[in-house]
Formats: sequence, C-alpha cells, structure tokens
Amino acid sequence: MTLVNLDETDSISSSILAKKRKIWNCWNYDKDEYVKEESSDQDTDEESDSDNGNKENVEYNDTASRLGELGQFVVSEECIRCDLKMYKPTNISSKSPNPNNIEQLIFRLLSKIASTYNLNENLKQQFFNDQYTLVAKLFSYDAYSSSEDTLEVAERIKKKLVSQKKTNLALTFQELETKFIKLKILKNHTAILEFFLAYYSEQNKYDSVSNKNSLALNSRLFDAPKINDQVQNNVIEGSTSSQKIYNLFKNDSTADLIRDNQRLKPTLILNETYILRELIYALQGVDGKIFQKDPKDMQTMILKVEMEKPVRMMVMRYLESGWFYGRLRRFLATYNNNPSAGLVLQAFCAYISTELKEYHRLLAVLESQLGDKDEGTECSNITLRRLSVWLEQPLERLKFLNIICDAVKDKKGGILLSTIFTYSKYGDANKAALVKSGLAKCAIPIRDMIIEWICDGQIRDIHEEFFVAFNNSIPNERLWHDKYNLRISQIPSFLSEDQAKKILIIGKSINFLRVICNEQKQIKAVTNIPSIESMLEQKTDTQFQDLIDQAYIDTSSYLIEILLKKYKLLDHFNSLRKYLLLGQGDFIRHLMDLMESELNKKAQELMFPNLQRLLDKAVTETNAQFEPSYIISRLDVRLLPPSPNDMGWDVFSLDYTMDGPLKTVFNSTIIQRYLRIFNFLWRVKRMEYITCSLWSSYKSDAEKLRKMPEIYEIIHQSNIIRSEMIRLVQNLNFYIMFEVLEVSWKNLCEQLDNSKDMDDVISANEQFLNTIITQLLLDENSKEIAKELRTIFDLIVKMSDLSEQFHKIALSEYEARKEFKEKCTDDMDEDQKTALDNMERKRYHGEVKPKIRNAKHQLQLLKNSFSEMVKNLLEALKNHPNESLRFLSFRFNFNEYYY
Amino acid sequence: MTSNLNGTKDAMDAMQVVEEIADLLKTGLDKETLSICVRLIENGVNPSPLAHCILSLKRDCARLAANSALSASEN
Repeated sequence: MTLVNLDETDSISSSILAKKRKIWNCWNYDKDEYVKEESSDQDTDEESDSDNGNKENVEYNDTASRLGELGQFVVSEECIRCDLKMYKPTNISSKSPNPNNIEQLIFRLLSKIASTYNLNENLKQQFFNDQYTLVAKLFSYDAYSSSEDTLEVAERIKKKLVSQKKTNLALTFQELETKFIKLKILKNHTAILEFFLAYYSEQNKYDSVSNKNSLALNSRLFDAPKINDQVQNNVIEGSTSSQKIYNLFKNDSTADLIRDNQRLKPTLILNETYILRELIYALQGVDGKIFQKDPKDMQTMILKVEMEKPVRMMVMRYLESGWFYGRLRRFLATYNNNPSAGLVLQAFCAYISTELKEYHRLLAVLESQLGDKDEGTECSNITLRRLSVWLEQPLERLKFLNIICDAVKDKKGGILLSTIFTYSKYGDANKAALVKSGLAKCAIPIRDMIIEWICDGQIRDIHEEFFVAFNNSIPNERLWHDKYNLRISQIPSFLSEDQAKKILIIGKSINFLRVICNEQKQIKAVTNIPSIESMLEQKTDTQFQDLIDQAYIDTSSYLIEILLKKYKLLDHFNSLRKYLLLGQGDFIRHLMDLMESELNKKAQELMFPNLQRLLDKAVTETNAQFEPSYIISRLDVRLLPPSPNDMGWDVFSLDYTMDGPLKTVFNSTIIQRYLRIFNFLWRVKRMEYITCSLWSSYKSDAEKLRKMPEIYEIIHQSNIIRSEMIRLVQNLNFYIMFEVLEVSWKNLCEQLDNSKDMDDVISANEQFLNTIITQLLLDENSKEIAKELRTIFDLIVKMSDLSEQFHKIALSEYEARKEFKEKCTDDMDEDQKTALDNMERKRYHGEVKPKIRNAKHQLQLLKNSFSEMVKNLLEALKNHPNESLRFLSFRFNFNEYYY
Repeated sequence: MTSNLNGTKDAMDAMQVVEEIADLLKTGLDKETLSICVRLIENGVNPSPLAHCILSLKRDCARLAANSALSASEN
C-alpha cells in the first residue's frame, strides 16, 4: 500500500522534477532514505538501523555538500530565475503555489536548518518527522495574497526600527528598500518585506521573552498538530511525508485543523483566499470550516475562528448579505409553491428567486475568480477589500428585498401590490427600479384577471385576490346589484377607484348580457394586451387606460342598446308614467267611473276577478286599447293587504309586471315605490272626483233646493266648504302634475338619454322616484304632514257623505211640500186647510227641522275642523325643507285667506 | 543565452539586496535559507507563518541538539 502511494507521489513529482536534474537528485535521495528506513523499521534490528543510519549519513552529507555548492549559486540564483520564469505575471493561472515545488523547498529548508545545528542522523530524522507535517500544512494553505501595500510594510519595518532607537538602521533600510522595490525579478516585494517584518518582530519578541523567562524556550509558539500518537512517538509507519500531508487532508482531520487553528495564532493560518472561499459558502448560508450557523437560531453565521479585528469587521459585513440571503430563502420556502399563498405572492416569490439566481451567478463568478483549489490554479484577483465592491450592490438589493418581504408577508392580491407599489416611490432610483421590475412581475396575475374579466366576464380567483368579488348564492335577478362587488381594499393603489368601478361594470355588463339577456355575442376581443408598465405608469402610458375606456364604452353602449331596442326600456318607462303615475287621463277617469261602486265596498268584500274585469273593460273602452300588447298585458290589478275599516279605495292598486332584464331596472322595491306613488295619486284623484261630483249633485238639485228658503243658509255654508275643498284639491293636483311629475319626468328622460351604462339607468330611475316621493310627502320626513293631508281627505269624504245625506233630507222635504201643495186644493174648506197646515207644520218642526239643524251643526263642525286642518297643513308646509313644498303652501294660501 | 546571463545577474543582485536587508534586521539567516525563503514566498507561501515557522524550526532544532548533547554527555 505504501509502495503504491510512493509510486503516486513519485509519478506526480517526477513529472515536474524531470526538468531539474539537480533538485531531482536531492529529492531522490530523500525518497531513498525513507524507503530504506521503511525496510529497516520492518526489520526492527537496531544494528542494521544504525548501519543504515551511517550509510545515510554519508549519503546525506554528500548531498548536503552538493546542496552547499548549489545553495550559493545554482539553487539560489538559477532556481529563482527558473521559478520566476515559470511564474511570469502574464500567466495569471500559475500565480498560485505549486505544491510539489514547495515540498522540495521545505525539504531543503529543513535539511538546511538541521545541518546548521549539526544534528546527528537520528535527531535529524526525528526533527524531520516532527516538523515536516507542520510546515507542509502551514504552506499548503491557499495562496497568500497580500492585502497590504509594499510601502506600508516597509514603513512598518522602519517604525519598528525607530521605536527601538535604531534610527541609523532605519535610514539604511530606506536606501535598501528603494533598491529592493526596483528589483524587477522579484514579483512579490510586499510578501518578502512582510516576511522580514514578521521574522524581525517575532525574533525580538522571542528574545525578550527568553530574557524574562527561560521556560519560554520550551514553550513553543505553536505545537505540531497531533495527528496520531504514533507520529509523536517517532514510530515511522512507512508512509512518506507527502502521504502524511495527503492523509491530513483526506482524513477527517479537518476538525483537528480547526481546533489547531483556534489554538494557533489565527492570523498565521487564515490566509485571505481561504477566508474568501469560506465566505462564498457563508454567503449562501452553507456551513463551512470558518463560518457556521449559530446553533441557537440556525440563521446567523458565527465565526468559528478568531480573526484580527479589521478582518473580522469586514467579514461580518459580508456575512450580513449571507443572512439576508438566508431570510429570502426561508421566505421562499414558506410561500413558494404553497397552495394557500395567493397568485400574486407566488409571482413575487418567482421574482425573488430570479433575483437570487442573479446573486448565485455573482457568487459563481467570484468563485471562478478565486480559482480552483484542486487544480492548483488559484489566483488572487479578489481580496477581502475588493469583495466589498462586488458585494456592495447585491447587499443593498438583498436588504431591500428583505424589507419588502417583511412588508408583504401574509398579504395577498391587490393589498400586496399596493404595498409593493409604495416602495416604488423610493428616493433611490436603483431601488425604485428594482421594485418596479418586481412589481411588473407581481402584477401579471392581476393584469390577466382584469383582461379575462373585461373580455369574458370570468373570474378565476380562488385566493380572493382580485378586486372584483362575486357571490354565487345571489339569484340572477339581483345579478346586477349584488352578485359582483368591489373589494375596495384589494384595489391596487396604482389603479384609481374610478378605473376599478369601470372594470367592475364592464365585466358585470358582460355577465348581465350573457345570463339575463341571453346575448352570447363577444363584445370586444382584446387584441393587444396592455403592458404591465402601462398599468403601473399611467401618467406616461395611456395604453391601459385606453383599453379600459374602450371596453367600457363598447360594452355599456351595447348593453344599453340591447335594453332599448330589444327590451324597449323607454316604452316601459312611458307606460309606467301613463298608468301608474296616472298620466293617461281618460283611462284613469274611466277606470274610476267603472270602479267607484265596487271600491265603495269594504276592502274585505272586494272581488278580485270583478276588478280585473273592470280593468279590462276600461282598457278596451279608452285609448289604452291602442297600446301594444307587450305593454298592456303587463297591466294588472293588485290589492294591498287590507287593515280593518279599510274601504276598497284604500287597498286598490294598479300593477305593472316586469320580467327579464327589466326586473333589474325595475326590481320589486322599485315597483313597490311606484305603487306607493300610485296609491297617493289615486287618492288625490278620488278627492278631485268626489269634490266634482259634490258640485254636480248640487247643481242638479239646485232648482229644487232654492224653493226652500229654510235651507238657504246651510246650502250656502256647504257651498263655501265645498269650494274651499275644490280649490285645495285642484291646487294639489296642479302641483302634482306640473311641478312634480312632469318636471321629474323631463329630468328622467334627459338622464336616460345621457346614461352610459346600466348603473346610470338605474340611478336615474331611483333619482326620479326619490324626487317624486319626497315632493309628494311620502318619505319619512313628511310623515306628519301626510297624516294631516290624509285627515283632510277624510274630511272631504265625510263632507261628501254629509252633503249626500242633507240632499236626501232636503229632497224628501221638497217632495213632502209638493205633496202638501197638491193636497191643498182650492175646493177644500178653511177647517180642512188649517188642519192640514197644522199637520204640515207639525211634521216639519217635528221631523225635518231637527234633521236640518243637525246637518247644519255637523257642517259647522266639519267646516271648523277642515279649516283647522288646512291651517295646520299650511303651517307644516311652510317650514318644509323641500322648496317646492314651501311653494305649495303659498299656492294654497295665495290670497291669505287662512291667515 | 545573454538573456539567461542577464537573468542570473539580476537574480544575484536581488539576492544581494535581500541579504543586506536580512543582515540589517539581524535575522541571522544565511544565503541559502534566504534564497529558499524568497522562493517559497515567490511561490505564494504566506510570509508571516513562514517567518514564525523558521524561527520555531531553529528553536526546535537547537533544543534537539542541546538535548542530544546533554544525553551524550550523560552517557
């Protein structure tokens, strides 16, 4: 086994050594020596051992003398030149140490030192074995690269000399130094000077220590590493020193190495390339020999080896980026490919991994700059200081990415984008650009969602990241109102709320057309998908805004067109006005004529089919018959739920049924409000009807009533009340028709003409209804006034009843008097006449007069309460917040009759 | 050939200067050791450990020699 190893080392060395015969001899001698020792060791014969020793001694001396010759000239001059030739600075890759070359040099060094002290053969052997591994190990570390300036080192030497009060020496040194620096044949002036500095200071220290304490002689500065006991006991195992080196590195001696490193003065061992190599691992969060993860938190890297303070400071600074790198990796581990993380977050993770890829690339470049240790082509292009230039920007980037990561943690969708977007306003242009490029990647899922939504009306958003939310449980008729909503918090801050609303309406319209209107036509295919940048930089790029605007206009106008043409939205508005808002006068009047008797019944006694029949009759007998059937067929009767004592009038209502898309504009609450308005208008209409019939019945009976002077007064009274009522009702009617309904209708028509989308139509309708309801005292604020108006209406109905009763009394009295006159013929005698007359008088005074008095009394009461109520009403109207209602009060009382 | 000669001369000059510095600093290193050291350093060996190492080697060697002399006298 040893022989094989020997062959190996032999073949390695021989290839290089073949060129230099003289050194080869030297080397060959050493090797022979070991082979012989090996054999002698196996013999365990002391004698032969000593024989060998003698022989060796002879041979060694021989070689030593040869070396002596060479040392003066051939070795020192020619070999240096030879090496220098080999390591021309142009050949960068050969700058790193050649281990074999070094090995020879070490041997020569050891031999030289041993020979200086005239050690005998055994001691020399022991010395070789003791020291070789240590020295070889020291030198086999990575190539030294100077971090200091030549002049600086020279300056330090001078300072040292001056501090020891050897100023003249310092001056001489200065001269030598200038000469030295001019030497072109040497390439590593600094290192040589450093060697001298170290040697000089160490020597001085040693001297001073030995002066103080002789014990220090024995305490070595550093111990030879104890690889195994056998080596310590000088038992030669038949392995060459080169194999020992081999073992040292191939076996698990790295731990020993580090332990030794710690024991040794660290600066002795840790050369810069080695630190750099370890650093590159540490920058990726990988444990190395020098830098290892803190076992406490497994995050921070800690130094396993002591270093000089400046080096440590520098290294710690670089380790920071390793720490940031580790944090980003953990962030990725948590969220990347995590199904619960949103798409945007995953996009962000993808972006971070590309950033980390860049970082890896940088580290790979750095590593290649450091060279390959195994191939022995190390070079020192990179130093710890230069590394700071390399790492400056990546460190900043990693740090900033970490800040963003912390900010976006556990966020999703638009909120996440908004958070990142706030960082894009960073003052540092580099960082802002970094954020923007990241944001551009993260916004892709949302951009795609927007495109899909405004083209197909589809939402694929399992993580609820899109700012349009949908609720599948909403029935289709509420599709427009409730199914789709904006999640205000999820709107990315680079989109305005206006845009978000438009986007919502576009998709909603598409869905509405598809589901409710059964229109399958594709409205707009987005041919050029807008760039992310146009979404983020809306001030400079209008591409995205244009797309939204165009899609909005296309979709909405198409929807409005469908509603108007296919579903005749305007016709329905018109018929609502005609029938529910009593715009069609002849029809309403005729309906009232037909239904009067029916509606005078109690609410519970109403027959629904009868009413429907009367409605059909009214339709066929008036202009309503010319309406298209799709309108008139929707007209229907509805009875409101009756309360006790309600008359037919109170519960009757017309109805207008809606379906399909119309139900979205005219949903049940809207229709309910129309019905409320109808109810009020219908009541006012009835008051008008009543007051008119009061007047007409008076007119028809006036001839007869005028013949009874006893009731002149009461008739006069009732005329006054009636005309007061007529005036009130007519004014009210005028106000309703001309100031409320027509004005609102005109506004509604204008708004409908200008409406751009469905929401405009709906809001126009709502506004129309709101205005009417407020101005007709149907809203919450006017409840009290409406109650008084209601009382006034009740008084009018009461008045109608009263006047009907009185007319009945008056007419029967008229008939009775007529009969009396017919009885009193001329052929009757006086007595008979007087008797009849008495009877007549008695009848009048006994029966009729109390009735008349009663009627008069009631009329008086009614008149009082009526004027009281009207005064109250006017008072209330005068203070009403609504302007037109205040004017109504003025209209009622324009001649200041009431106060 | 001339370049070779020039190179040799340069090398000698260099060693001369190095030697002078070594003498000035009282290192006590002879020419051969110095040349080995320079070559080691030129080969990229870290100079400070080398300095320590040489000193240590010298000390060890001296100690060994002293020990052997002591034991020899005892014998």
